[in-house]
Amino acid sequence: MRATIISTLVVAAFSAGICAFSLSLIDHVSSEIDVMRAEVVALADDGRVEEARLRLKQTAEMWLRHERQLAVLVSHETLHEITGLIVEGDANLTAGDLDDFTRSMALLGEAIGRLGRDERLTLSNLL
Amino acid sequence: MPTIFIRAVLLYFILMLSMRGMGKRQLGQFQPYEFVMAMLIANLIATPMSNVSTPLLHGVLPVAALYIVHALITLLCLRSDRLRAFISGKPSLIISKGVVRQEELKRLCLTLSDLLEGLRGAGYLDPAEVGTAVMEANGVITAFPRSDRRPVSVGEMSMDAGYEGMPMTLIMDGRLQQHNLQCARLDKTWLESKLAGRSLCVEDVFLCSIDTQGRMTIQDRGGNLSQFQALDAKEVGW
Repeated sequence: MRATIISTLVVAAFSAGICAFSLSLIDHVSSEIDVMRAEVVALADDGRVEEARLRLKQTAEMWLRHERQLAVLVSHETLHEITGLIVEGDANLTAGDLDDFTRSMALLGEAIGRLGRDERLTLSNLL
Repeated sequence: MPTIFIRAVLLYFILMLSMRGMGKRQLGQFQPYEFVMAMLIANLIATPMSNVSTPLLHGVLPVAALYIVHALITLLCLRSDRLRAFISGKPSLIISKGVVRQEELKRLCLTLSDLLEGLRGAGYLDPAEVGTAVMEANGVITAFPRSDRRPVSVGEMSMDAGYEGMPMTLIMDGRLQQHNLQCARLDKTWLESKLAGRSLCVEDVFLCSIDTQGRMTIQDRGGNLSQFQALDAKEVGW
């Protein structure tokens, strides 16, 4: 019985650790990326396209760094969607197509929000 | 991640309550909570195994959740009879004093065919021979003969049958079972001398065992069987 209690406590501690790490990492990454996305959009809206491109490049680099960690925790489809939207936004900005760029950034905002929302411990997620 | 964890716990309880609701017929040989565990784990592991887009933790974490709930239920059942009765159910007496209890059969949704099948499984072709039958919490029917139909026991005949315990396997497929030999307080030289008496060596023996009456049974690789008194029953030390 003692072995069962100990192994249960170990598994519970492991699970709690994974849950806490996952929540904290996803929350941290999604809020950080979203702030950078908002900055890119603001720069583009001000007509500072080159600065917006530079910031988007930094956003992409930051995202790729975290993507490897997130791949252990989150479904890969969501991660690929976010990567695709960053690449799409960059291509639109380079082509000077601001309407499509705005659309890509809006979709990126939604995808990042969903990443955090899907992991949050809410009744709607549970049910 | 916590969502996946809690969802696994919720599904465990939902499935367990469903299994309890369905009754003992569905269980076979598991307790309800063991059956739920077996059903869920297979499915949980299958998704991350077959889909590389799903992180392995999406399979591991729900399994950890089930492990924790299962261990907690097991521990709580050890402490509380009421909880055990609620989770696993209670045995039901379906034949008492040789009479089939129809009300109990109805309550368990058990037909007479099911009962007869269960009794045959328990070794009774004729239900008239059964004095008591119980449907256990895991769905298995156990049956006991009427007292006037059961064989006479050695004790009733005032005979001394001696001690009957676990026979020790000494050689399996030509390999000496050193641990069993030690448990039986015997040694290799003694065994080899017994085998030599039958023109055999350890490698020639397919199976060799000795029972608590001191009788040794040897089957060689040719399929020849021999049984002889290798030890005095009083010398048996296990």
